[in-house]
Amino acid sequence: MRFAAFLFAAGLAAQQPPAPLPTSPADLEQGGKLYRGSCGYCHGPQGDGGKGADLAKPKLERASSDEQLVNVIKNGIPGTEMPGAWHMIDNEIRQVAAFVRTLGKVEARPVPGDPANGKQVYASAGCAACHALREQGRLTGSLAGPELTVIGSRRNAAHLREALLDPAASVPDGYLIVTAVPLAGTAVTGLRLSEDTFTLALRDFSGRNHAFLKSSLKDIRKDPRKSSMPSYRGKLTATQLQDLIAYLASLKEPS
Amino acid sequence: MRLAILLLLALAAHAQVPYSRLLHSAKEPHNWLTYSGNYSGQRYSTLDQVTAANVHRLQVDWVLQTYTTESFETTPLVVDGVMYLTIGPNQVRAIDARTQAVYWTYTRRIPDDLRLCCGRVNRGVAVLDDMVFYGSIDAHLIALDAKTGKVRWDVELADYKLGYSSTGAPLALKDKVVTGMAGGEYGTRGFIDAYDARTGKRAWRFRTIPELGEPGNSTWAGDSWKTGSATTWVTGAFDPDSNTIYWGSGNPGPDWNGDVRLGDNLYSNCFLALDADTGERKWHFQFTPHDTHDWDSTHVPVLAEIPFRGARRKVVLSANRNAFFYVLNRENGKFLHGKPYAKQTWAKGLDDNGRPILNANIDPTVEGNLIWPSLAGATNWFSPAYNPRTNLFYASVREQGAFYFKGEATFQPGAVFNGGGQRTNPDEDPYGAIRALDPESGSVKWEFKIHSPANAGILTTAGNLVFTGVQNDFAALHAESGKLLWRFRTGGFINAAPITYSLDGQQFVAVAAGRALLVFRLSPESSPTK
Repeated sequence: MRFAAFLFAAGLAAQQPPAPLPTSPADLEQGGKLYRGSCGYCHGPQGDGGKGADLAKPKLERASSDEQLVNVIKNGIPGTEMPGAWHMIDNEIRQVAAFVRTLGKVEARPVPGDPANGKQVYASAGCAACHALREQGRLTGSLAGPELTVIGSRRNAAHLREALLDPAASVPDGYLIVTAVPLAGTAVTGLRLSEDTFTLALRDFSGRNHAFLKSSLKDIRKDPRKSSMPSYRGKLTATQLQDLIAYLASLKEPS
Repeated sequence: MRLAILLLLALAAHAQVPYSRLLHSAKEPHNWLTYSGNYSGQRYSTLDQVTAANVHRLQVDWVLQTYTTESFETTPLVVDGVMYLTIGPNQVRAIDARTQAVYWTYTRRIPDDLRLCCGRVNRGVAVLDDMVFYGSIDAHLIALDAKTGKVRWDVELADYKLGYSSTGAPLALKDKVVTGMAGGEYGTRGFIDAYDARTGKRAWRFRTIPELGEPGNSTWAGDSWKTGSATTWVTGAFDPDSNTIYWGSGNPGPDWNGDVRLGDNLYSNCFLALDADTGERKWHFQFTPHDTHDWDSTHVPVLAEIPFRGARRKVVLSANRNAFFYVLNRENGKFLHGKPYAKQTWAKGLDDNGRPILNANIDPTVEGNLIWPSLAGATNWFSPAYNPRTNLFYASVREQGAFYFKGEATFQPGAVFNGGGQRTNPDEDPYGAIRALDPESGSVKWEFKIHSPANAGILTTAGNLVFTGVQNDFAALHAESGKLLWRFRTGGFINAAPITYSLDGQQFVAVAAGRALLVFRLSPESSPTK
């Protein structure tokens, strides 16, 4: 009997259109609190992004509908750093989603600068020596650093500026610089590819991959406050920097 | 004469593993007859063919690929050359340990609307007489015929649609099979059940949350006792001398929002000592009263006799999820001593009765409150081990904190009822360790560091060895020093606990790694001739 009732209820639920997101001040206040606890660390307390995407805009590429937004919060985005909020119940997720929508009601602040000119700066400053872009499915550039094809969706303008001027301030996941010092032979420095209790793999700055047994190393040095990217402070004019940021900010996920 | 032998054999076959064999499992270390190897929960074997001196010659003898899509967490049992193991989500298999020929596989039809926190896992079976006992993910206890895998009886523990499930191995003793249950994130109401092994008739049920009017019920505000969880999802231990079952209980529900269940919330997060015949409570010890961090005390209770302040004491040991190591008098549950074995920021210490002296502001908040250890705890369900020869307790340790969140806690039958959660601390580099604890002092004798928080169980042997999973490696450490003696790259993460057994004079060590069971032995060309 209980099972039949359950089936009946599930059937009814499936036919109903999704409920609208909550709108009461209490729901939005709670959504904001939950947001600041679970989301703000990456997306910024005001939702203007950082390590996570800028949410303070009217249209979110991954979540044009409210149900898509609820789904992204609930399940995360596979293949990205965005985790699912497994610890929230559906009502809380809907409160967070409603709060995220209020972030988008602020006036969109256009990124100053000329993206077309920024594209020239990207080429002349040598960004492609370490970064790649995917155009019509093909990668061009180098894979030494992070791919930038949709960097404008992942990082806000302030974060991009910081990354250009002070790259070590926020080293992205997977770009930790490690030096492996063998018991015999010369030390190798590069980006850590993997590490476990017994092994370490890294890629040196000439692009060569190395694998070590930790038992063959006398020291492993890690520098989480160091980046392999050079600072562009003083190397670009203020206009060039602004244009480059505008160009990078324009590299978005297709909506 | 021949007929007499045949009859005798037939009788023996009918009762393969009478209770007397389980009771005296120490006499047959070549078998692995219960979840923890024996009733004491020590996961210690007296087999000593593989030793600290020769363990470097251990090599894979055979592999069982399971193709499961679940985390593979089984402890196989080995009985007279037959291995019984569970494979998530829904199988029990009996294989010949010599040839790996499959005798039978029981596959249960399970519903697709299960309510689970943590995967469709299973951790093993129990054997008694000619039966194999299995707790299914949809919260049934099933008795299988040991020879054929056919269902002898099948009873529902509780309604899976309300969030009940079973993941732990049952414990068979006397004429009963004892089992716990899981479902601590669904507002269930915990219990430990005993069933008549022959008939499946329930002999007793101990409710981990007392009924209205019973002692302990008033430690739950209002009606919160009805949905307080306190589940029992890890196998307990048994002391036949005192006829006492020891069993751990889990978190109070909702996990992270304690506002709706003010009080100590008995008997959540306890070790419970129950009369094996009646299920009556002899004593309880609560590790974390009014827990708001999901620190289940669902650990295997480790029963030992240790030197303590000049006398030998019968104790029960626990490295608890809350980061304290406890030594309790197992005859009365009195606290002997305890101290932290991992980083913790929630308590100043333990008082004379073992009750935590709390720090201020430790509860989860809506914005997040950073506390050590994380909700996975300083350890978790992974079996610890105790070696009577070294008198050391070995624990799998997780050094990690978390931001704890408080969330909504409105109960709906069958829906998640956890009232919050956690996220990890991006500024922390978490790590793990195997730590050897001296029960008398509570201090750490040695540690072996692991690159990520530990996640596997431990086996210790008279060969002066500690076996455990170290991420993707199966490793042997020296039981006295923690020195790494041997490791094998299994190619899959190890979440299970190892066992050891011997066949035809050869000692084997087995562990579930990745999705496969790996079985090791010393290399045959130079195996010892003892």
